[in-house]
Amino acid sequence: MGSVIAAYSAAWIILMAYLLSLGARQRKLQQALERLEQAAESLRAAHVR
Amino acid sequence: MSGAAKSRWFAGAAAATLALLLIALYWALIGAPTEATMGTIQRIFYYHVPAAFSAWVAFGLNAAASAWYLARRSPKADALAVAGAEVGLAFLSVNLISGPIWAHPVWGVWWVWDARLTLTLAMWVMYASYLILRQLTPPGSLQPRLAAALSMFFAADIPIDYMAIRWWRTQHPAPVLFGGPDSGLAPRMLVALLWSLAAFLALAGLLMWMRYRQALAQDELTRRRQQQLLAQEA
Repeated sequence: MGSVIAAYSAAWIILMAYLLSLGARQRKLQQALERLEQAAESLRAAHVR
Repeated sequence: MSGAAKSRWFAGAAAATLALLLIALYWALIGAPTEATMGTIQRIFYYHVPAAFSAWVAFGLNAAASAWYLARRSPKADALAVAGAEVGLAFLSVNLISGPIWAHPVWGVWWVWDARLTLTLAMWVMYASYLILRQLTPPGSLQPRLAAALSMFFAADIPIDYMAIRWWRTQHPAPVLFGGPDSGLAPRMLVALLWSLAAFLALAGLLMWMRYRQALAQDELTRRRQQQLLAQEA
């Protein structure tokens, strides 16, 4: 049973680690997009002035 | 589809996938009978085989999306190709790790260089190099074209890997499904395998969807950055 648990655990660890890495990348992308929006906003404001 | 509808759809799909994974786990560990020759260790089969199958499907999608990209230069096709390669690699890693854990007590060795195992390892190296190439080349029109062209070559390994245990005599066991008159599974083992297959394919689909959306968002970010640079220069 030890080998089965090892194989199943390895599978869950790999797939969940990948899922978590996708979540982390998504958050980074979201933050980068928000920063870009803010920069674009300030650029527009500077042009108006 | 609106943003809220997409979120609802995604939450529903994630919940259904989790339910499938739990059902599959029950069938793999409890529902399926213990195999007569190998005993409990044969239960690795219910993760080992669906992981390989999901990887093949993901790599197949990568090849189809690459062909679509080469024909139409669609950013959506490129995003789908990245998603297929990355998710396929994750599932193939599961297959390549669970295999030796199963092989060691049964064969007495962790690894043999037979056709199936070698072709599977070669496939892992190919798609890892595909993703490294994408990371190392700067974003632009050449990167997806180069990756798509490479993907066309790499895809040839998918049917050869699938057929390896049918074409050649290997240390790896003969196929239990679609392997001729001598192949087959006990009915409850087949049910367990089908649940696992459904769960793994659902998870692969969900992960590919997430990665696909992310690749499109990354493209959008790059495009907006370029626009902003142009606006600053103007």
